[in-house]
This record gives sequence, C-alpha cells and structure tokens, in this order.
Amino acid sequence: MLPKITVDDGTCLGPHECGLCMKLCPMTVFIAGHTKVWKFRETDPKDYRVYARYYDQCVMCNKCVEACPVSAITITADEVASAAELLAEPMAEQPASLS
Amino acid sequence: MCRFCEEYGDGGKWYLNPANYARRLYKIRKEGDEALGADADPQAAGMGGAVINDIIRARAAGKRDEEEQIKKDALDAAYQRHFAQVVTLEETKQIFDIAYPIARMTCVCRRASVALPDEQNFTCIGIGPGMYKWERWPETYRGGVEFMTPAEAKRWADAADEAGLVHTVDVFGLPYIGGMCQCEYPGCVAIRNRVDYDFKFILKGEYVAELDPEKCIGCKKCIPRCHFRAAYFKVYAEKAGIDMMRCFGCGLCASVCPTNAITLVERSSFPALADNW
Repeated sequence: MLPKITVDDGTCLGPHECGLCMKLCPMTVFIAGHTKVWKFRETDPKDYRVYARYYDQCVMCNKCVEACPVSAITITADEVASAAELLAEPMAEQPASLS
Repeated sequence: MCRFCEEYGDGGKWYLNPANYARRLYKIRKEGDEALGADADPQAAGMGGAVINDIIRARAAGKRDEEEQIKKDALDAAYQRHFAQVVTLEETKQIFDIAYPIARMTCVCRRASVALPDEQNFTCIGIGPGMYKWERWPETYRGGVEFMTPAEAKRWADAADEAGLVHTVDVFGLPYIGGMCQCEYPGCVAIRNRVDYDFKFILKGEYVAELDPEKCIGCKKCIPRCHFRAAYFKVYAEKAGIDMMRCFGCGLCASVCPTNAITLVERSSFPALADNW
C-alpha cells in the first residue's frame, strides 16, 4: 500500500496565500513549485503550486486534508504495493488468516 | 582528498584554490527558457527536482536497479555541471577571502520545500560575476541580492553556524564555484534527497568528526546540531557518540562543544572512510 495524494490546483489557494498543508505535514511531504518563469521579473506568488513530491513518506495522518480550508487535498491508499511490501517475505509463508 | 581535489586542487583542497573562482570560468546559461513567461514544471522545483521524482517513483515501486541507474545517469551529469559539497565554517571564511563579489540571496531550496517567505529566506550566498546579472533572472534571486564585504560575510557565516546550518560550496559548471549554501534537513533539497534517498548530489566534506570520550561531558548540545543522523547519545556511557560512517564533516557538532571534545580530522586519514563521499 502506498499513499496517493492529490492536490486540486483549481481550488488550492497556493503555498504562499495559504500553505497550511506544508506547515502542518509531520513528514514535509509537500513542496511548492512555480509554473512560470520570466526574464526580468519575479514569478507571481499566485503562479506557485503545491505538489506532494515525497508521497512515499506520507504516514496518512490526514492533518493536511483536515486543515485545508478549501478541501483541495485527498489522500487514498493506492492499490500499488509499496517497496517495503515488495521486498518483504513472500506472502505464501504467512498464515492464511493474515493474508 | 576527493576526486575534485585531485583534479582541481593544485595540491590542496579544490574549493580553496582561487583558480576555481576565476571569472573567466563563469559560463553557465539557462537552457531553453529565454522567452518571456515560459512554462515551468512546478514538480521539478528545487535542486535536482526532476530527478528525485523519478527516484521516488522507482523506489516506491521497489525497482532498486532502476533507481540506481537513474541516480548514476543524473550524477554523471551533475558532477560536471551542478553539485554541492560540505565544507567547514573555517573554510567558508577562507573562501570569502578568495571569491568576489559576495552577495546574500534567498535560498531556492527552502522556497520550494517549505515555501519560506523571501524576507525570512536570505540564508544563501552567491559568489562571483553571476551575481551582477541577478536582475536578468529575478525569480532565481527572489527578493533581490545584497552585496557584502568579506568581513560582513564572515559574521553572517558565524550566525548561520550558530543557528545550526551546514556550510556547502556549490558548483555551477565544474570547477567553477558560484555559491555558498547554508543547508539543513529537510529544508535543503540536496540534504533531504541525500539523507532520505541516498542521492549524492551533495557530497560529504573532506573531514570527519572524531569524539574524545574522555573530554565529552554528555551535555548533548551537539546531537540536535547534526543533520545527517550521525550524532547520538550513548545512554549507558552518558556521553555523545558520532557515527563516522554517516558523518559529513560539517563541524556543527564541534563548534558547539563546550569542552572541545570533538575535532575535525581529515577523512583521508581513515582508510575505511577515505572513499566514503
């Protein structure tokens, strides 16, 4: 199981106007990236987006989801197995009751 | 001596060789995005951003071979173009006597990793002729730049050390050194990616911290200073410990030790650490 994190760019207020998710995340999962680059002028803070780069470190505490004032973040358990599971003991060796 | 000392050190540490700050070396140009208002990939923000996304994707899928190949390809290019290495506070001050001009600027890493407002983010130093061109790419130098004298820069480095920031040199087209970053976990993208994903965009320093248990009084002041998870506390002995395999040789632990129990020793003097970068 891997956390799957989505941030809705359309409703998200942005990392500078809000940024609550970035401040609250215990694992510093989110980053802020600019979508435009200009010569001779700074990028408008509105053109920054929140992105869950380090999603593999998310512990699914849901603090960002609960704090987001516009409900732009969702966290779901991805069907994909995580590396930890892939590298673990083969499932066949476990008791049937655990699988 | 690391490989860069051997090639560019002229017998000493490569980042203390004035030739590597020579303005004729300054040549790095931005690629592609000369147009006004070009689209940027927000996911690629921070140093080596595009690569770390691929590394995480491979690692999360358990594809270790693919992860190693991505790293190898990325680092082959990075070690020619743009990478960083840890240096000590004393060396940082020596560099401020070699390089010119010196300018305070905002940290591109913390801007991306924690969206730190510009006014709180002047923790980076740009050096060399590139700093005269900051107005051409203001987003890179958000908040502007502030030129400093070597004396001012040294005081600033002392303050950064006291605050607990790791000193590094940054290459912009080998062997040209164009920046002195003051880094931290997890705010620094390079340290974050090295500690969490073993991506060696940032290299260990030329030194290793060695602790004298006889002098250590177990005050624990050094332990929270370490960004590399090398410093720890031996409860049974009531003394600090330093994992020299993990140590980057930044010296932050040593500069806060009240009894001078920690000294920085040349990495090359430990055969098992000499190739541990």
